Amino acid sequence: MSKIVLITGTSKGIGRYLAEYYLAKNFRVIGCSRSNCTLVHENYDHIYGDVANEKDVKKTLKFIRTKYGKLDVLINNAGTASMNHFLLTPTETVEKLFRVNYLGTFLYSRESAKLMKKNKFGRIINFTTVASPLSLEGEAIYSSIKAGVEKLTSVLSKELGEFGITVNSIGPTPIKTSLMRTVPADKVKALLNMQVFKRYGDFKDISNVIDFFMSQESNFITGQKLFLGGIS
Amino acid sequence: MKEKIQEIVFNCTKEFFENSDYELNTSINNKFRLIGDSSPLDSMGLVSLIVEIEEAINDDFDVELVLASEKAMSARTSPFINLEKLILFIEEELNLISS
Repeated sequence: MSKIVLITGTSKGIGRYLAEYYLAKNFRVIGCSRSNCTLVHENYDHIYGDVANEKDVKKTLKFIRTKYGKLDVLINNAGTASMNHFLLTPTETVEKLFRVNYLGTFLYSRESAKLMKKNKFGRIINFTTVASPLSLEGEAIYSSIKAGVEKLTSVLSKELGEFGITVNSIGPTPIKTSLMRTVPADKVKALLNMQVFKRYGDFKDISNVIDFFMSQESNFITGQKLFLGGIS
Repeated sequence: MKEKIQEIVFNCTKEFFENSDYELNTSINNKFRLIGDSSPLDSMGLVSLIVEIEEAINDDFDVELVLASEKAMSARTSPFINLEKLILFIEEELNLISS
């Protein structure tokens, strides 16, 4: 049977790209989002729901278990960002960022691992950000929540290792997606200048790392975080 | 409903021991210990068994119950002490969902 890949946040941006990328590799892809998704493909299933809603997440995994009986790869892509000075950050923003970026990753990882462990194989790939190691001003909440995702990745790798599940994270640089739309141009330029390679990231830079993490041969690689662009 | 839950829990436990390396040194009944020195399970065994039971209950009753809930974890008497407590806890949770 083809590899079964679950990707959160496939309605647009990186998630949409990854869904199309893995469909082109003849994988079975299950995507999810709250907003409308126009992707149609014979090997693609889309589940509407909130990544931070436990019932929605359990329903998605039940669908996968019933239809495919296994899950090989989870890509916790769904995320949202917000730039504010700390003193002007609304509480609602903190809660929203936490729910989508952290709670969504937690819930999908937990429920996916329950299915993966049956097969003694699984790859969980989380998304962090270069804003975390760079401690960027204006990104106090986003970067600290993503730092939490990094720590979650590290601990999960230890707890899930005995089930044959690896857990790693990727930290992209700025990429031209809707997530970057609200970031002022001078801030983006300053950020790009901190990189070894001073350019926007491409979608291909991300799928390259995910290909590496999800390959069968990467069964000795877990608990790692890999930042793009030369950030460390 | 209690009989059905009991049947699911007992069957899951039996299958779990048949398909794992854990040694079943006692019979599967209401007093079967899940934690403590007299349990044949270690912590990872308990985790795996709870996951199996949760899945079976959710499939059979078509619900999205999470057994390791805050309520379960903070209960004065843990529902994971033995199968009797676990069955009782599941029954209470299913009654809450249906009410």
